[in-house]
Amino acid sequence: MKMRSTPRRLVAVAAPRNSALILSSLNNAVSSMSSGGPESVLILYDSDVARVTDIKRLANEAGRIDVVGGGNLEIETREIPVINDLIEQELPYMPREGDCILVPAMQLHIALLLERLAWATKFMGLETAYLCHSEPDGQSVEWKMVGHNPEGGFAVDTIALSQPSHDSLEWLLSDSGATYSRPATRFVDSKVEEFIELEERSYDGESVSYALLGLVGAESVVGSKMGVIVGKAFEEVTGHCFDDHDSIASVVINVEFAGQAKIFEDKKTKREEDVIALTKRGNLIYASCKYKGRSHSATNFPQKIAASMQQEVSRVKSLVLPINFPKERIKRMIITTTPAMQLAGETGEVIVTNLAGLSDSLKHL
Amino acid sequence: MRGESEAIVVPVGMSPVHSFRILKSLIGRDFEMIVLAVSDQTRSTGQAILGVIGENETETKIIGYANIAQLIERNPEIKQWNLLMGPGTRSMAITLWSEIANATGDSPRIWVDYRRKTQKGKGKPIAGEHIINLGSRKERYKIVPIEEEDACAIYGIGVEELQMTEGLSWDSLYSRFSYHITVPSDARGMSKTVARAWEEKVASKVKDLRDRLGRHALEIHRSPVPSDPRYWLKIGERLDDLDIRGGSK
Repeated sequence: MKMRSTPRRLVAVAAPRNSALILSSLNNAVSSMSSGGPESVLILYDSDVARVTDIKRLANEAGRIDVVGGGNLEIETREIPVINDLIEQELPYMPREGDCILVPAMQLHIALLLERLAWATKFMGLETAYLCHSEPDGQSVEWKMVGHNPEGGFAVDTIALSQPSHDSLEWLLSDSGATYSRPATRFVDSKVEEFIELEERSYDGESVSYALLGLVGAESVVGSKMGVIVGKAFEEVTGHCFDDHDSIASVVINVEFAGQAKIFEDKKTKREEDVIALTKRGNLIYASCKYKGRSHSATNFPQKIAASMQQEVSRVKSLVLPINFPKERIKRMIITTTPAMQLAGETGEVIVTNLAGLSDSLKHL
Repeated sequence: MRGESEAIVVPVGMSPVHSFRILKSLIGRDFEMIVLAVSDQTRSTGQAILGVIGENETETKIIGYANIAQLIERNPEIKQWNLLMGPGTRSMAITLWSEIANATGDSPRIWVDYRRKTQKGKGKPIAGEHIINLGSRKERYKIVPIEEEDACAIYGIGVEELQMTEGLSWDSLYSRFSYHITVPSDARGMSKTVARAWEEKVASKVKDLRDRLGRHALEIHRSPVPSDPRYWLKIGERLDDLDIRGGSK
């Protein structure tokens, strides 16, 4: 197939509350070119999308993506008709030589853009255009080069590149209204390892709780607040273990998703999750921390611990967070104490582990 | 008839009832052949669709979507290939488009399944649903409704099973399953823990139904959650996140 140009302009369509899809698709396209990368980006969006997505911020983020050979992309945004009007009104997009369409989320948009490409190839002398599709498995990017065969007919060449998707937790969380913290870096690794070993070999009893509080530098208290304090301490140590692991690209803890309803004067949180992490292989982990069975409860009330773990497994299994991400790449975990792990029973696709097993579990994700 | 032999390719995705409706709507139209393009995951439901359709005036075929070029080569009498975009994955759509283009030396005519939706509420279709030729937009066919028995046959579930699942029914107006969740009558008196357990049970049931029936073939709604105790408001918002809507009061 004759190739007259390299990709010059990337064309993307914004999806509602999904800036991450555009930004990772742009990054995947740019990073899979060894040289002669694109100079500009055209972001198409409609007013329905603009109501729930900050298009200006999206354009700014897109403009910060590094281009091979240095420099940044020049960004243009353009409003298109809303879906209800897309059939009756024209799509304001005229393909240019070397345009590269980043395959959008919605098939109606894909169809309209392909229709435009085919029309420009037939009637406007367009020689070469491209499609770039980031596969939902996050492991490859497929390029299609659209042009002419030697007989003058239509031809499409396909190149599949193995490359992990360039995702970012910040991008993923940006449209969700979530607030979060980063794991603390103050832990001494050898002290964390000592604690993990102690936790693994002590079946029940309070010594582990005191060791945990000692590790995070918290004071023990009497009564029901103790459970809250050790729970928080366990989340902190778990966050550190995620952050420290070679398979993890990025991690946030204490993630709070804001709601609309005013429950109290200043509290609008509708959901809190303990750990959300992105792995270097492109998987997104939802992890719940459950500190259980450390005040003789595993010995005295094993059925209660087992029932509580089954309830948590069920919750995590059906958990849907307001984050747009391919569901086949979402992995679900519960990080808990050794006795609770042993009493958890059938967990299906949810990975239930203690801190000692966390490292091995993460290696495969 | 347009005067030349035409075929249309219809992908089968995870909501096979939708592909079935499209197939049914295209039979007897201007196409000599209708091809169901399936993936490994949708092959069995694609075959179930053909089983329910049975013998008819239009030739129907089923093929793995990556092998469409072989089918085109075996059918040189087809002069115009059409591709419907909507059902199936994005990978299926662009693979089918490029394979047809390479096999024929021309871009296929692209059709879309399209519905205008109300801006408020649950986004119900306005003025029906249509299959539209993007190259000539006045050329469109209405997507026909289907019956409960056909939908159940495609999913391999008995009509009795459908009727025995509390809250689940067939909505013949929109040709999709409808699942209604009723907030317990004693919700106001429930403790936070019991209310959360109810929420988790609902979420789990909805996930199970969506996995089984596909998101597009299932409409979910619920009765309003109480405004008191206040934790029901958070539960209502989390159900909204799951696209289980019904408002609150």
